[in-house]
Amino acid sequence: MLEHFFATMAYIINGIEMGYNSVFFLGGVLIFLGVLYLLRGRARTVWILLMNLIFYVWAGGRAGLAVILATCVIVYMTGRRMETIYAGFETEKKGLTPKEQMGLLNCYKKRTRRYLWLALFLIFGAWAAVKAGKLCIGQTTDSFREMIAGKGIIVPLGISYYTLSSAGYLLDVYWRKTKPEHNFLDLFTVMTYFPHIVQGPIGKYNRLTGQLKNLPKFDYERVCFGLQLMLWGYIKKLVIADRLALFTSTVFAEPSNFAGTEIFLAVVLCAIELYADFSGCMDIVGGISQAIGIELDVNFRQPFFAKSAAEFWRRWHITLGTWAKDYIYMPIAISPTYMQWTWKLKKKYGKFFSSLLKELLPLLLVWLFTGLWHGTGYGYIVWGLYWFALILLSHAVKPLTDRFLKHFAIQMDRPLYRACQSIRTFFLFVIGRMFTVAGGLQGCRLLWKQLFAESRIWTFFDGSLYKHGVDRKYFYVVLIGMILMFCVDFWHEKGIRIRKTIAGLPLPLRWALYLTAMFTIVIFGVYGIGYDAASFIYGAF
Amino acid sequence: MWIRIERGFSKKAAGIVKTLIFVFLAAALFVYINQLVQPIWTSWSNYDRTEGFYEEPENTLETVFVGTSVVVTGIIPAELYEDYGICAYNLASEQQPMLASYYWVEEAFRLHSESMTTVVLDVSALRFKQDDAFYRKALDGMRLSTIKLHAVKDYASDFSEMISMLIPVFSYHDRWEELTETDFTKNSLEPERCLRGLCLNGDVYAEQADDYTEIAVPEYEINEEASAANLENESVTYLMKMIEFCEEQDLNLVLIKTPVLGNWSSSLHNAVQEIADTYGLDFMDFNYSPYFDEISFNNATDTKDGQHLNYFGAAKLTAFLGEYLSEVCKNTDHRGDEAYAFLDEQLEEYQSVLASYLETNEVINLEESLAADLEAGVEYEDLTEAEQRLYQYNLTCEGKKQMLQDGTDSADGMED
Repeated sequence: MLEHFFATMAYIINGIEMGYNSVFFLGGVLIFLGVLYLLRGRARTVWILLMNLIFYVWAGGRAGLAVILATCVIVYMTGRRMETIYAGFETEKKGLTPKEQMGLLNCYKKRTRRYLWLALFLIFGAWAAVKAGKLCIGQTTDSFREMIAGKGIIVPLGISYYTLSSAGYLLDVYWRKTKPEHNFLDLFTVMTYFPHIVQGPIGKYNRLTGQLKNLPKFDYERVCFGLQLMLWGYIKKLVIADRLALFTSTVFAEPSNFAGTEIFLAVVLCAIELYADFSGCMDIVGGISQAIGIELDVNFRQPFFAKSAAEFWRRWHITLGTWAKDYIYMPIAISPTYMQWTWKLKKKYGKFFSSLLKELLPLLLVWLFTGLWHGTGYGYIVWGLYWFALILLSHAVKPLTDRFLKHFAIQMDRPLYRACQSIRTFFLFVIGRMFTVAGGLQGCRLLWKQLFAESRIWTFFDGSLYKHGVDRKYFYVVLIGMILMFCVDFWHEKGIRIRKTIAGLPLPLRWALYLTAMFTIVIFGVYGIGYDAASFIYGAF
Repeated sequence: MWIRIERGFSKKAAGIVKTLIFVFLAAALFVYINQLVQPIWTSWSNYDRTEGFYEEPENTLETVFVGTSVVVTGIIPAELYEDYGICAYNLASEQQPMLASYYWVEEAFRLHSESMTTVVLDVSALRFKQDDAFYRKALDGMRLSTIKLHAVKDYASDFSEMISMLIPVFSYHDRWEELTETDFTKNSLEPERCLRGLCLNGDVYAEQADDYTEIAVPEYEINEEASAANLENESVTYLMKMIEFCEEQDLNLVLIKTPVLGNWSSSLHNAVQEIADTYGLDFMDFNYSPYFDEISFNNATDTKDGQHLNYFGAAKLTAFLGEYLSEVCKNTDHRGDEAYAFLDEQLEEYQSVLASYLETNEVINLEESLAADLEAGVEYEDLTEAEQRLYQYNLTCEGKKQMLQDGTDSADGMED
């Protein structure tokens, strides 16, 4: 009897691919929330950790769990060790002058630095090994034995994200900006936290552990808002992003079969697809966290309303930009040696050029890192350098553009001008996508070649456009979805809080909206087995 | 103090009640959408067959027919009752996979365990693996039970696919693009019970064909030397399970092969004969003598396309099988039995449905009309095109039969 139960459980677990867009995940989250609010205090933390582990193993694998556990142990111990060393400084510094304290601190920093370097080496080393392994071996596996035999590489779930968060945490402890976490369980819970393990946002562990220790009581409005945010996220992901992907992946798999309008549409739509997918995912996990009572960092702030390249990266994948700024750009820019060198430049080249050159090195390092973080391959490096060039260039030509605009009396704050800037920035983003979306630089070259090969404008009219994975009716569904996304972003840009506004509507209208949203996903979402009407027509046997 | 607690409590209670009502609404809407997108197939009488089956009174069926579309058009249960009093049902479907045939036998037995004695299987499905769509067409109509769960689990490659088969939206939500009136009114659709699973067809091959040479000529004799063909693995597995099930439940399993001239071979025949011999099953192959002659089968008049029997062919096949089921399988004659009076009602309705079908579709018995014309002395040039084709076809068949006869005669002669 028990054997039968386990066999059934194994059959169910092996037959479901776990991830945020699985209906079983959704069901699981609802059960999880239900139980969470039946528990109190520390039991809640244990329950969340249990969910994290189940999700991690189900979605990622047991081998990966061993790696992330080891990482957490290293991070925890290094943090505590550094604290112990600094404690020595706290006692010794008494009675010294500020200048003497600085000298003493540097001595202590030399000691903590050793542990810091070791820990950073280990965790970045693991990450680099995974990236190199993916490039060289290609196959992934979930067994250490197989990895040692060279048959595949273990890719721990979320390694790109928890590596950055861990590094940031350790650097913050090293710089004495924050105290290390004393409770290993809390740190591990936050590191493996299932809403942010797969795609971020890249959070600061000390802030998250603080929230974990103070989980709020059940609040009906907060939980409802969280579930509604999840609903919106699922619409973006399952109804818009995954549907667009059916078209764009067909085009990018074989670009030589397409040209002109088809390529143009594919690259523009893949940019919107990426936004819908990524921000949809952020809304799903943000919604879950809101329902739990944890606030994750915002990762998107209406990015397509950005008016410049630099502003774009303050609105797109915000936590990555913040991480790069806090842990690459600023440490270099404000380091004494660098500031001395740039001061010399100021004397030589004047204010404007020196500010440009001051920006150059840390910005370059940020963008090389960001490129490589997104993927391994020349395409990603070029992509990183592309954004580096755009940002540096826009800074460099600013005096010229200002003069130009003044000369032609174009007012910068008029809506039409702002709209043009946003559209231009959007297309800069699209061009950037082309470096990596069709399989590296070769694919990029092919896309550009095909784009200008012929116009293919007739595909709009003769119906052939609707034969590449998304038919005409579904194109209309996606179009409506994209318009809706734009409206939501527009209202957010104006500062309107949509969920609160809807909550103010009369009950039948509210419920109609929620039910419509839910059934939009059930009817139009990409899930389950695809239905091919033609296959049901009986041909003679 | 009292009032504050009370107000707090009723607010919480109101919240719970609101949530429950919302969840209930969402669930009701979900159930509605599921039944809306579930397709029902009216072609090949798919919907009538499964719905009609579940309306049959329990423990009345004695014989079930399973197999592919050849059985769908080829077996007339109403005429089995009319002429032999047998209570039978036609549970075949288009390209019915053996897996589905097996589980439909189990399902029939579940509801008619006391009365069921015979299973007749057409072996066409043994030749190849059917596409997913035909598993759905065969199994979607089966109501939820442990048997359905087993069938779905056997077919599905994993749990996710199993859920897709049990909850319609997972497979069919894309159907919003093609919803029709049938989808919205399916709950009020009454199945045509009197046909008992049969799909009536009055098309005559000789009329449909462009030239008589298209119509395949019979082989007449089996080539016993032909090496047994390889049958498809999954199909054979479920045939074995069916054989086992019938043995366990003391059911008589009969194998048949409807005439499909040009789409069957001695190799396939021999492969099936091997299995039949191993397990002591009767195998009646209507593509060859003696069974071919027993039903006086004529490909030009008795099929609609050379593969599927039309009404005339089905009547011949059913009459023969009726005699076999009565004499050999000892099926009960229920005519006059009060418990089976519902079959009399169905028979009456069948006869009127048949009559109106034949009239509306202007179906002619080509065999009879040609015979009548020839007897009346009509010249060949004055025959209808279809009659001309039939005439030429008959000549060709006679010629071949003569050739085979001569071959046997000369062989006999040589022995002298």
